[in-house]
Amino acid sequence: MGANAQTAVPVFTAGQVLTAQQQTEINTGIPVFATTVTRDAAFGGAGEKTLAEGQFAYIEATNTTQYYDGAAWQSVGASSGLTLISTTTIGTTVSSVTVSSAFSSTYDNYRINIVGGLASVGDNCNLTLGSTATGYYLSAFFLSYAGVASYVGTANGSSFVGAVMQNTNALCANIELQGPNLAKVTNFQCNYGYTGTTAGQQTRAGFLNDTTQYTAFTITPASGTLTGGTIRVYGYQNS
Amino acid sequence: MTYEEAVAMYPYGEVFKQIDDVETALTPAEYEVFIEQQVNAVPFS
Repeated sequence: MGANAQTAVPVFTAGQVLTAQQQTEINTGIPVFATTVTRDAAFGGAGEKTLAEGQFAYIEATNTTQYYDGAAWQSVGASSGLTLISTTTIGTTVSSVTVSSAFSSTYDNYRINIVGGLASVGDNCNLTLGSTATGYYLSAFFLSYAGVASYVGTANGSSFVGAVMQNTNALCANIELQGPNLAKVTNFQCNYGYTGTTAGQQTRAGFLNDTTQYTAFTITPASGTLTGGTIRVYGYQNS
Repeated sequence: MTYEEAVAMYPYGEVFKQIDDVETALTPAEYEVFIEQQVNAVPFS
């Protein structure tokens, strides 16, 4: 948390003597918050302003300035397109990576990209939302670089199988999710080209058959470990 | 891959789970699950 970050936006009563901290909080211009979580916690509590249309905030985690439109937070200067939500650097010989604050009510639709890094063995990584290990429906189309096609399907599986390509020379993911934080089923799509000369490309799509509102996801190699690479999560602007 | 080959390739204490930017070594139980996963893995082609 930076030197100017605050955890509340206070209200005062007539004649109240302000402390130095309170004067600092009202002298910062746009209030600064470490994350969208501390931003949301700063309004509506005892002695705090009620969140209302026109409120501004600066978020250190994403280096963005936002305003509240009466229903949701919007980013200034980004009325459409993608907004970077989080960047996670994959560590060394990890058997799973969880991104814990990926999804929120700010966005309905998300993109997850993974680039760089490598795996100890060639395989695929599976994607799970929250701690859910059932209800994943998925079909996949595979077309080898020699032009041979094949198909596979999974009903009520334990993950979105094969969501991420892992090889000993690269990791790659291009994942789209619709509605992971909505109280509806979550739709999923991904595609990538496997980085082996005798392999091919894969396109996978399906859905998670529950109405849980997810905030986190986990990438787990089907076998082996991951080292290095970057996971970036983007949100599509709702308007 | 045999159990012994998996343990040799992924020694205990050298495999981690990561939550955001924090890496933690697998517990003994988690490590056993991980090793069994390697033993049962179908070679990728």
